[in-house]
Amino acid sequence: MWKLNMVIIMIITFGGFGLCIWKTMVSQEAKQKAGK
Amino acid sequence: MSGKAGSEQWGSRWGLILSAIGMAVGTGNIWRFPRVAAANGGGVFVVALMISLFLWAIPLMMAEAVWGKKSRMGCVGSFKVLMGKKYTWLGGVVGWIVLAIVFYYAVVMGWCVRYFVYACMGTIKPGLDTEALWTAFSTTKGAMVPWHIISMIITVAIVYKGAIAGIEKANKVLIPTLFVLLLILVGRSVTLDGADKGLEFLFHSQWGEMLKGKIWLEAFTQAAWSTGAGWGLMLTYFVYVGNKEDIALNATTVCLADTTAALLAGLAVIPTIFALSPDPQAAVTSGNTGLAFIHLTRLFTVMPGGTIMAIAFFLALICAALSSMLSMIELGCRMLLDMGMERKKAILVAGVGITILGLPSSMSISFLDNQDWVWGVALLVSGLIFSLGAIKIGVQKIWDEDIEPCSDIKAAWMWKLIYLFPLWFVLWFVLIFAWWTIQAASWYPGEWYKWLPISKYTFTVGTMYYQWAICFGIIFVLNNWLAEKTKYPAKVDFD
Repeated sequence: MWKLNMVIIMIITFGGFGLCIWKTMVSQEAKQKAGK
Repeated sequence: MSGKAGSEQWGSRWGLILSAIGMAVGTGNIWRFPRVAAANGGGVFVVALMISLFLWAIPLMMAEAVWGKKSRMGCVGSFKVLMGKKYTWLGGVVGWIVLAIVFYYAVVMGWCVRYFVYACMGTIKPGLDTEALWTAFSTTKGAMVPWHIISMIITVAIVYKGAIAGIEKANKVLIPTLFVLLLILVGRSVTLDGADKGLEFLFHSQWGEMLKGKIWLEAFTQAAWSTGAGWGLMLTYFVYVGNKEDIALNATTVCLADTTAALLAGLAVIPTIFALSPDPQAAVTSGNTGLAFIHLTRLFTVMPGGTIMAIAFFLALICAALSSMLSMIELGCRMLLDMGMERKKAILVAGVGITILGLPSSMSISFLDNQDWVWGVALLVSGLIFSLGAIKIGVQKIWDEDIEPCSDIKAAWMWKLIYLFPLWFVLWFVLIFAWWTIQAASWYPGEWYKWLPISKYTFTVGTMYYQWAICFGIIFVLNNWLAEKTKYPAKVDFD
């Protein structure tokens, strides 16, 4: 059971952080394109 | 945008994000989170922490970002500009609390530097009595002073050389280094024989525990103290952002990065303790410094490749402490700049002042413990000041005018959770704080109101309230003077 918990916690934490980084990259790219 | 040395603006968004992550991730992520998480339901605690980030830390970070970006001034000046001249002292209170913390945090960084040097010199080897080593270091008169001064010199040199660009440049090295070191430590930790017992201890979860008040108290406390939300540090960094810089996504990224670093530290520390320690429970319940400088250090002496791991661990602690120290020095420096002082002079005044005022903590561990008690708890006041400020100005107004137009994520609900802060005030600040006060009073029966000498009455209720009353009282009396003096905002006029 703890192994499942570990996977869930890691997905939430690392996944959430990864999602933020991805969104920042996408937004930056869009802003740069709009700037050009 | 340029990021040249000495410039007063961030060179890039990533520079800002990395610096803000550096501000948030401190030694507490490495030595506090693992033991608190393990002692409070493991996985349940992490989920409660994630929820607490949204309920407390992210809205506060957003509020701070608005304060800095809109006023282009530090703690004191931003409260004057956004809330009116008569509220200037509230910014002074926020700024003072962080400065009072940095006085002893510089000493804590000095410990990390000292132990890093121990590790590099091969002192941490089989047969070492780590408890005796720590006791000798922390109680010998003057032993901590040189390391406190060295840590201040390192920090001031970075800010002095490059101003904001210097902080950015340093964090572009420190934060990736910290995460790489944590990953190396995790890799070693989880491959030790018996590490699975530690993982099980960390991630065992009875989901019914989510209903326990203590879990939520610890999660809120971790969210408040670990992310640095409500300290005025995010405010200071946002003084130097472009006019179109995002607020909501940046605040969320910083908070989740903080939790990511904490979880990595948990994966590095807890399995190591369970794999190697004869008494894992004693290590986990031994407090922050006991865990890092006695128990973990002892494990490094018996672990295969322990010297390398000790170097990596204490270097990670230095990276975490230094990246936080940079933001604290800049907070003090920004307040002086707002009073018209030239930057290099402001850095030196802040650096020398913090070094001198940190000396009592570097000469007496009980004084340091006292300051940690008094000003650590005062951080709850800081957070409340920001939330009440936002409610006074208008939560919807701030969203419409300052957050929504430049945000990459249009999540108004995240910001509007700040409406709940008065509820947290009642639940957390009044009820729990009252409980806390009664608890603390029981530690000193009949003497709870005394505060001098500090070495005897280190954790009394009296010491906390007297020091608050004196410092906040002085700042309140100086309100008009502060408002008059603070009138030089940073000149940032780029998108």
